Parts: sequence; structure tokens; C-alpha cells
Amino acid sequence: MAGAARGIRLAVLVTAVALAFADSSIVVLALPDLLRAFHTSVTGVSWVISSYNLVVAVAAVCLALGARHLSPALLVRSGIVLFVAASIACGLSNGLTTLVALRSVQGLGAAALLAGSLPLARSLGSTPQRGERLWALSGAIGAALGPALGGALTQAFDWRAIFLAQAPIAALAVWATLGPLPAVAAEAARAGRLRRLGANTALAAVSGALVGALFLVVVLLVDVWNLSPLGAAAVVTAMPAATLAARAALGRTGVATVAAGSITLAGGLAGMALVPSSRLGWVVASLLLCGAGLSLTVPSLTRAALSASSRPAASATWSVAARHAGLLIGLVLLTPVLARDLKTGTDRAERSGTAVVLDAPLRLETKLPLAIDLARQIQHTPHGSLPDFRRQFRSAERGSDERPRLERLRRDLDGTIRAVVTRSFRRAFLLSALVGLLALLPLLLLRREHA
Amino acid sequence: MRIRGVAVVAAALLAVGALLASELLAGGRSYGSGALHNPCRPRHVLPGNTADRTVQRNVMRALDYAACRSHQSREDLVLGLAAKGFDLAKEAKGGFDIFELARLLAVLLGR
Repeated sequence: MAGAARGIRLAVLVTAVALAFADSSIVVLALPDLLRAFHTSVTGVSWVISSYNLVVAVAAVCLALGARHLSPALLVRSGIVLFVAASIACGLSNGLTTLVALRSVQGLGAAALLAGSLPLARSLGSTPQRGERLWALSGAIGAALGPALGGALTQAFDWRAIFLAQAPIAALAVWATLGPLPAVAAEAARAGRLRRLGANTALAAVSGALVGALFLVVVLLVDVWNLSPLGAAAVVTAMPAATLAARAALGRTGVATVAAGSITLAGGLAGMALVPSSRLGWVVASLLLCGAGLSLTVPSLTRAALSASSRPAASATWSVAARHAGLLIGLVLLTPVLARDLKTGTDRAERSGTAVVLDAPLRLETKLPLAIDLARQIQHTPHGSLPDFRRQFRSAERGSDERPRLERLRRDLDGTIRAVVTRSFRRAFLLSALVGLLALLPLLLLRREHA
Repeated sequence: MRIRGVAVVAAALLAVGALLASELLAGGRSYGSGALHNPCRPRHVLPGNTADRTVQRNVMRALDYAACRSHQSREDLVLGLAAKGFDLAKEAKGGFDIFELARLLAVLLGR
């Protein structure tokens, strides 16, 4: 019975850990809603994501350096209190500045929760290694699940539900810290500093690459392919599904497995760069590879980062800092590339769309007024956004005997614009794939130390 | 153990290779390139013998000729003319709107 209670406490704890990791990307599918709610810019709203990751990374470094004498249970409890209070306040906030400030507080709470949770997981697991494995796996699943979870909640309710729903789940984790905890003997250092450095650097590279799979894919699906948040959430669920499936299929892991994971993750992102149409099957196939890559890399690298010292709390905190710093670097690196390519992409789409309309087999009396209306719509669409031509086509179809041709032109025009703008994501996806491949370099350190 | 490691890496390369190869075979390389026709080269557009098609073909030829002479694509020329037209329409408060004139012309040609 005591064993069962311990198991439940562990499950509750790792769920809170997964939630704290998921929060890095949970708001992605709610960004269009936030843009509308706060009448702000894309850069302004992106701080809702960046502030959380920035504060987690900085606070984790501070905690790793200075909190070695704090009790893990106390760290987790105070972290959860901050995280829960900030989550509720985020859900009730009425301004972007307030929301960003509260997201920073939430990040502070998450950092404390993540810093203290590993020693607790080691105590609550049937063996310390099992607790450690579950902690590492929950981090990978949480990160992969974030956008899907946030998208489903946004569609079912609204963006506030994302924050309000996670508060009670995280609060439950306080229970895991109460009651006696079996003492775990400090392990002798299983490896050296070089191994820890290599693992954390590789973790940062994998997290940087994940920006492609977690953020760019969602922006592409919602803003360019016009999927609803729930539809996009369903598509991106392929990633956590593959993460779980690959974990179940593979038992023991080593440096080769991590290398295979980096290749798979980078391959999935390259697959996103080369999609040959806007069929969702290509996205799902690419995300399956990304999910499998995540599963092969993150838990193994996290364990390698933890195995280096007799102070697991500090090691865990360094690995948390590395992951969130990687995400932040990925965002800083990829956002300007995408913004620039989208600007030129929308200009190219305008030209290609013009060619489609000029060559359309319509009579002049239909084509010319439609072309003028379409040009007017383009003039009224903010630069960098995609025009919506539905109203213009409805008006042209009214009373026209060329309806089938108009319908085909509308489809061709939508398809051409979508294809050209989709191609604008190519460089950003390839860059994130390259960042994923960079994880292979620090593996040499792991290998050398292994030998 | 070493063989297992090699097998895992080989499987990863195979899976990635399979996806990328099928995407390239399905046209992933050129998807969305938005390549435009060179206006200095002849193009085959809008076949048909009606007066409407003849007028359109002649307009397209004229556009291609003008675009070729001004070293730009036909589409850039049309978008530039449209932008100038919008400026004229803005200036012509109470006067003629070039686009309304174009609409009228299109209706007349249709008849």
C-alpha cells in the first residue's frame, strides 16, 4: 500500500514537471487569440512565450549556483505555490504587460519546481534510477504535448482556459511533497564534468531545434493553411504520440541512440522544409520523425546530464537551464529569419496570384471587375498577412454563368498563395534542422568520456 | 551493443531518407517556387476564337511586350499599373475613377 501511495505521489509529481515543461510552448496556438484580445503586434505577443523561457533559464542557473542547501521539498512547494498563483492570475489578466509579467512569475515558480523535483522523484521511485527516468521522460512528453494541449483548450474555451486549467493539476503536486520521503543514498559521481557539459550542450541544441517543430509548424498550420486551433492541435499530437511510441519500442539507450535521435529530429524538420503540397499527411510524417527524435534524445541526454554528480538537484537544474536557454536561442535565431522570408514570400505570392488571375479562362467582363476587387483586397490587407478573397469571389459568382471556372480560379489562387508562403518557411525549418544536427558535436564528448 | 547502435543509426537514416526522397519525388523541391514566365518569350494563353478571347490575347501580348521592354515580369507591370490606378482613384475625388472606367469597358466589351 505504501508502495502504491508512493507511486501515485510520483505520478502526480512528474505530471507537474511535464506541465512546467509544456508551458514553454503551451500558448503557441493561442497567439492569434491573444493578438486579437490585446490589439498588439506579433513581437509583443511573442513575449508571452519568451518571458517564461527566459525566466526559467535565468532562475535555473541562479538556483543551480546558489540553492544547494535548500530542501528539495521546500523548493518544490514554493515553486508550485508561485506557479499556481501566477497561472490563475495569467488566466484573469486583462493586459499584455500584466500577462508577460505574470508569465515571468510563472517561470520563476516553474524553475523552483523543476529544480527541486528530481531529488523527490528519485526518492519516490521504486529505485532512484526509475524516478530519474520518469522525470526525464515527463520532460520530453511535456514539451511535445504543449501546443496540442493549449490548442485544444483554446478551441474548447478560450486562451484563459490554458492557464486556469493547469492550476489545479499543478497544485496537486504539493501532496507529493508531504509525508515522509525515503532517504536515497548519494550516488558516487558516475562520470565527469565533460560528460555533463556535453549532455547539456546537446540538450540546448535539441531544444533550439524544437522551436521548428513546436512553433513554426503551428504558425504554418494556423496562419497559412487556415486550420482551427483544434485541427492544428490534432495534427501536432503526432509528435507526443511518436515520442511515447519510440520510448516504448526502445529499451536501453546510449550515445548511438542519441545520435540517431538527432538525425531523426533534424530529418523531420528537413521534411517540413520540403513538403511538396499542403496535404496534412506530409506534416504528420515529419512530426512523427520529430517526436521519435525527441524521444531518443531528450530523456537519454537528461539522464547523462544528471549522472555526472552526487548533487542531482543541481545537475537537474543545469539541464533545465540548458533546455530553456536552447529554446530561447532557437526563438531568437529563427524568428527574424522567418519574419524576413515571410515578407518576401507574401510579395512573391502576390505576383504568382496575379499570374493565375491573368491566365484564368474567364470572360473579360467577369475577369476585369474580379481582378480589380482582388487588387483592392490586397491593398487593404496588412503587409505580411494573407488576403482573404472569399467575399470577392462570392460577389463575382452572384448571377454569373461562369461559376465552375470561378470556383476553380479560387482554388488555384488559394493553392498558389499557400504554396508560395509555405515555401517562405523553408529556410527557417532548414536552419532548425541544422541546429538539431549540432547536437551531434557534443556527443563526441560523451563518447570520449564513455571510452 | 555496438551492432545495435549501428542498427539504430541506420534505421534513423533510412526513415529520414525515405521521407525526404518521397517528398522530393512528389515535387517538394519546386513546390511554391512561384516561378513566373519570362515575358520576352512567347506563351500560349487563352485559346479560342471568340472576340473576348482575341481581345484578351492581344492585351496579354501587349502586356508581355511592355514588360519585356521594361525588364520586369508581366505581373510586376500589372501590379505597378494597379498601384498607380489606386493613386489616381484616390486623387480623383468627384472626378473619374480609373477602375470604374475599366469595369465599364469590360461590360461593354462583353456585350
